[in-house]
Amino acid sequence: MMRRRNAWSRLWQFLLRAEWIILPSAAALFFFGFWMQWSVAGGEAIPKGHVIRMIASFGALCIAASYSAKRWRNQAYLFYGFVLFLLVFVLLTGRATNNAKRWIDLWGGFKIQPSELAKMALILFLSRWFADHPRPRRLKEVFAPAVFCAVPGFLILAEPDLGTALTIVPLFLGMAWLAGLPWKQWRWLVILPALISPFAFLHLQDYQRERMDTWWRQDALTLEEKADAGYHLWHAKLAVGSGGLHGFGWAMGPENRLDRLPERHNDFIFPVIAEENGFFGAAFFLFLYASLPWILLVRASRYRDPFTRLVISGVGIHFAVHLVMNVGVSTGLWPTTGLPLPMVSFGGTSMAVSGLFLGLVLAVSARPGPVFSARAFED
Amino acid sequence: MRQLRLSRIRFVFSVLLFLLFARLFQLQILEGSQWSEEALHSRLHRRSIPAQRGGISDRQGVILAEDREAYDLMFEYRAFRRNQPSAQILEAYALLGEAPGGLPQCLDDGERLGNELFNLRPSALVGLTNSSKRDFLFYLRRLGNVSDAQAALYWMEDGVLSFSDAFPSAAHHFQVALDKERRMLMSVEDAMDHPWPEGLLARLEEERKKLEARVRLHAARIAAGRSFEASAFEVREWLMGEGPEAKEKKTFFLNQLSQRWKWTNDLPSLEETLSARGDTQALGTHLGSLLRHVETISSPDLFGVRRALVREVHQNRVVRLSGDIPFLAVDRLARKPRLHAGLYLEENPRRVYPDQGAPHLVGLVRSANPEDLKEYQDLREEYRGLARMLTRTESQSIRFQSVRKRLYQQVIRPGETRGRTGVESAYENILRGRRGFLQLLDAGEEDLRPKELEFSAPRPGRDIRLSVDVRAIRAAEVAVQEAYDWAQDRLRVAGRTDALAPLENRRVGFALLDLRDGSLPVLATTPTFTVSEYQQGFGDLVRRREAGPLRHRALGGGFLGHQAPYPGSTFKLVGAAAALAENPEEWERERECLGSWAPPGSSRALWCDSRSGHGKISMREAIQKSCNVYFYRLAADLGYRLLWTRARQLGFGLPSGLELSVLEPKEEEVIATGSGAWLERGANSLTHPRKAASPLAPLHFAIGQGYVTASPLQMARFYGWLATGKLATPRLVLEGAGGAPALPETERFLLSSASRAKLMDALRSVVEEQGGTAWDPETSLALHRVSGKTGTAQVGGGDNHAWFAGYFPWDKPRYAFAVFCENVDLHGGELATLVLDRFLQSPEVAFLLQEDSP
Repeated sequence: MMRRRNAWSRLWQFLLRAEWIILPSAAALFFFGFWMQWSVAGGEAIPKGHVIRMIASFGALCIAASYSAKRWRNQAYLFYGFVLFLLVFVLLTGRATNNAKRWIDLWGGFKIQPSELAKMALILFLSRWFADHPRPRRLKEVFAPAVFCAVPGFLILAEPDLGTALTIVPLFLGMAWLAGLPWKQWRWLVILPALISPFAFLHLQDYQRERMDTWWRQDALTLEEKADAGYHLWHAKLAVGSGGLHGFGWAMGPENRLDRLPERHNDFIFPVIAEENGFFGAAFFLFLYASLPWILLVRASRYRDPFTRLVISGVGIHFAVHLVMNVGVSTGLWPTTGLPLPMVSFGGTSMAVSGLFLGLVLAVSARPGPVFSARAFED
Repeated sequence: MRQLRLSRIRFVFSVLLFLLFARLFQLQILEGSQWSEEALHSRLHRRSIPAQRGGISDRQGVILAEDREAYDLMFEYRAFRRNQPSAQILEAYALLGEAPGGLPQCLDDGERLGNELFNLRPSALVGLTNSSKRDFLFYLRRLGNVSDAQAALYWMEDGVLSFSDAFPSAAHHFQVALDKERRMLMSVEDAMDHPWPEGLLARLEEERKKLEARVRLHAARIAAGRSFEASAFEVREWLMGEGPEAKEKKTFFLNQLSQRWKWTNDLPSLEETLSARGDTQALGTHLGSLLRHVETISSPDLFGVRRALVREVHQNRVVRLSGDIPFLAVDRLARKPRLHAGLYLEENPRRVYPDQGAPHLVGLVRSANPEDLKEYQDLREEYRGLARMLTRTESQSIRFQSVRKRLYQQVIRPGETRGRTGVESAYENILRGRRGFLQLLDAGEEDLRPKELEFSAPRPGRDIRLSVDVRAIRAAEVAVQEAYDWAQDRLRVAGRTDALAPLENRRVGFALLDLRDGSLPVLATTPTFTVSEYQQGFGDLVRRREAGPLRHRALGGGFLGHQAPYPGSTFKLVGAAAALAENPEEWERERECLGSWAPPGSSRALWCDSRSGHGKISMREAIQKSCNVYFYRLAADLGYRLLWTRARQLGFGLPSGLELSVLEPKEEEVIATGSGAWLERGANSLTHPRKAASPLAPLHFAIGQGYVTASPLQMARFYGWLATGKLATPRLVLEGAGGAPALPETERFLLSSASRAKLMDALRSVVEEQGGTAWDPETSLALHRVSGKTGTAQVGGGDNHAWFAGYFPWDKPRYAFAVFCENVDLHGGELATLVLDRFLQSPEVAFLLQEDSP
């Protein structure tokens, strides 16, 4: 009886307190994504696979939301360790694709991409860490979490998956900032990598260097470069630019219909959006997508519990980073890296992890943990 | 504080978001029109439409050259592999790293190979790169006609079933497509006149392998040049070098390369592979192995190679399989282009020469050579540079349109033909016309269907009508044969069998000039050639130097030393006219001929044909009997300079003005240039007085034995002048083009009509009076009222030439003529007159002699 009452009570609490406000934006994005995937698929048969993945994502959301904040917090390190193990495991035994080892095949044909889970693991880890070690004052106090971020980062880089590895950097910087690291210390986290980056450039792979070079000269590409190394960038910009004010209409974009834009179901879904919906549609989409991290970054301040606050902010930063990087790459603002747009791009794991993220936010927001640290009150 | 920190994060996010909006605004609003244009441009398909070349006909309208509609069968492997099952199977297996054999094997064994592909599960695609998986899926979908791209993608990413289980209808569609391809290939083969011995698909496989080998060779050479910072071209040069220094360089290069690539095989095999020597069938395989080896050992050498390969493939992917294919094949391919994906028609009219008459004059066409294409290459580079620009200034836009128009419609393009010789070359700009232009949009904006944007119809070339009459030319060629036969019979009867041998080489030039308008009904030469001999055995024609069928003897040029066209006694009338112009009383003045004469100041005497001499002889008699001594004395009195001046005024030493060449002034002379100039090269020369200081010079000159060469056409012009008082400019082209090149203005040679009449009387006596060198009761020259002068020109190192030049009918001169029999060792009156006689007797030329004939 007590248990049943507690369960109903928890459910009632969940319904009352969870950040449902994120769901309309998320739902809109999921359906927008479905709409565009339908266009990419040819505009005829409904992409049933994508519908299934949306349902699976909803399922993941429910599963993640069913965990309590306390459980998420308690198992954050364990989850991190598990994901780290998966990252090592994928390098040793994972399925090689495009000379990259990113997937672990499970039973029944299912597979997981540990690097996607790593983002969630890092958010949980950093949230837990900074909740347990609040208000770092010196750089050495963030050294340990930095190392804990760098390890999976390098493992992901070794797959290689540069795009995903790069998302860890702003995530760490953002969460370190939110944790309270003073500006004078925090800036060194930016300056030092900036100083090292030219050397890092030398260690890039050939195709990555070629992409950088192509991006740098994107307004002066030769015909051969447009057909080869600069193909993605060139056609992405063609699609975006030719959309004009109103776009070509759903499933009518020539770059989409003529199959001239590669990976348009995945990393380059935004050019399809821009081509078919024009400036108005693309701007609306940007606004819609940006609203999700924005809401998260606004709502995070409601929570006194550092863990909750950091998780919600971290998820917001995650979506923000993906938006900025993906759209930036599609419009030629940054060099081409393969990074999908969560909830919109094709990809079962990405959609499922997005569902997990949303469920995580609902879970931690519904039942924030107790606040014991006096520092939590120090604003 | 947390509010502040969060707000800072939000601020940074806002700034980045603003950046995204700004970029979007820039691309879609500010640069939107440019990108739209660029996107449109990238979907444009431009085609140059060939124009029909103008035809060439003779004066009676007989077609000598015309364009015939024809189509070539083209092969594009890229389109073929995207649409035909055999290539899809081959490519799919290639992506899996397997080789089921070539296209024919993939078609023959298609059912088995296709089903094996369909039985694959996604797990079998482990190890493929993303792009390879995408391509593999593309081929599988095409094979099974699976239209649901998303479903296929999901199958590849997450599926567990085999492809055939996931898409049950795929196997049926595949079988249908396979059968369709088989029927299609058979249908095309059946429609061809000369099907390929191994079959069409084997032929396509051959081209595919060549393309593959070419691409791989290029990649290998780029990789080989990497460590030496050399281009593929330079590597090729090193490998092909001859000479000790080049060989040393090559050996050094190969040694270094083998070390870098850890090449364990012998150096000659590496050299052979990079030089594309050896068995061409195996070359692609060897190169593939080499590239795989390089990829493993030294992959940076292949960095950026793909970019160069894209260009190589784009340049070489279209191949001409067969030219001028039968109409049945054209019909089948045109009716169902989709069924024949990868094979398509290209309109390529053929130049045909139905009559094959007057090949030297009509000329021939040839494919454009690198020199012809230089303008095309330059324009293309400029066009590509302008096309790359996203934003063009107004002047750049204008230039872009102009360059595009020239590129597609005006300049010579690869695969096109242009005139090589004769009228085809001289009137290239008129005959060629202007190509049309079609611009298609691959996908229209409303319905994504191809849309025609711009069309400019081709403008056919103008037809040209020549003044020659091929029937008369053939009659002249037949007359030559008959005359030589006749002369040989006469020689045999006379017991002069020693003189028979030179008559075996029947080398004759015959010019007939219509004095009414300068047209040329006959410009004949023997031996000659046919168009097919020229096209298939040009080398043999060139090697026959003595016979020289490529020369046109009526135009006289391009001769060997002993063939130099000295006009001989036919030139004496120049001296006679010059003398009468100075002093009409020369006509009565007698000069003594004792058989030879040495001019004052010379110890050497020159002989007359009559060794005993003609005694005291007047000009009339001297012309009639062709007395050399008379003209020696006459020339000594007149002097070389005066004779030279008069000859110049009569057109000697200048090009004839025929339209085949372009006239250019050069210092004191006029020279002919252009592709037709060689036909008269050396034939119309006149030695300047500065170079004729010898006391014997005027003597030789006066009798046409040195210091002057003249073509039959030139002699015909001169005798035309004698007959009419006007020096005609020959006209090869009657209609369709501008007039003949303007000859330079020269001082006119005025001879009184009384003097001219006297000379004409003398010429008449040559033919009609006994004693005249052309008098021959067995011929009909007198009947045809021919007046003329024979000539026998001696040439060092060869037999004499025989000439006969004049005009007819003597009472109302209408035609001037000259017959030149090269190296025959007979007098003009023994052979050249016979040629004219046989010509005039021919029923084929009776129409020419009618009063009102055109």
